[in-house]
Amino acid sequence: MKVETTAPFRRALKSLSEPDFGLVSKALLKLPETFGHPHAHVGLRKLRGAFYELRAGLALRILFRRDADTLTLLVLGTHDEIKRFLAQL
Amino acid sequence: MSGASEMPRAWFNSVMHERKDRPHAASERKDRSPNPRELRYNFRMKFRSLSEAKLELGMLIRLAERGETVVISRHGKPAVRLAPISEDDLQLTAAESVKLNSWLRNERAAGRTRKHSSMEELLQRTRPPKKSRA
Repeated sequence: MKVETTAPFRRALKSLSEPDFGLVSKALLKLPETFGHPHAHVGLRKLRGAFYELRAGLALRILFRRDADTLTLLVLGTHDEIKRFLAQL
Repeated sequence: MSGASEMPRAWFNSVMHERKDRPHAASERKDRSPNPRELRYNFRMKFRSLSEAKLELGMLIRLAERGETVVISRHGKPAVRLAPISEDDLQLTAAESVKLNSWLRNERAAGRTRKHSSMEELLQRTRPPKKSRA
């Protein structure tokens, strides 16, 4: 599965603290193989349309979009940060 | 034996019930006129000070989940209200998903998105710099 990232996602990923980066990388590494297996319990949830949400730890979540064989990682942050990002679009 | 041990518990429960669940109970007594300052608030809400709320947060959260309004005050003034959260609150709205789609289209057209061969490669490239110990 191919991976595509947006600039805000890469910026957010680079600015994470080491423990948070660990949580996010653990969740992301599991993502391609567990996609389509709802019982794997990786904190994956379908949102509206082709959008999905991946939870990394209690606070962090990753908003992404799935097209045929590409995962586009859109935004990374807490629930409030993502809401703020969506509000300013 | 059991009757003797039941008495204090019943008394304790009645006192706690009057104190905690019915803060307006004193003003309801017929021999006392209601205090207008106490009636400013809607008494169907549960009011707790911050120190009280810390002790019984689990119970307050259960009440809020059931639909009761729980207000936590700080220095005698209402500060926050506990409210239940549902999956719908975390869901994208239709307008947000439309905006997100068009934003992504623009980002791709402007060449600001980047493709990676695998998740490992992405994590290698964007690993935050390790902080050196001073």
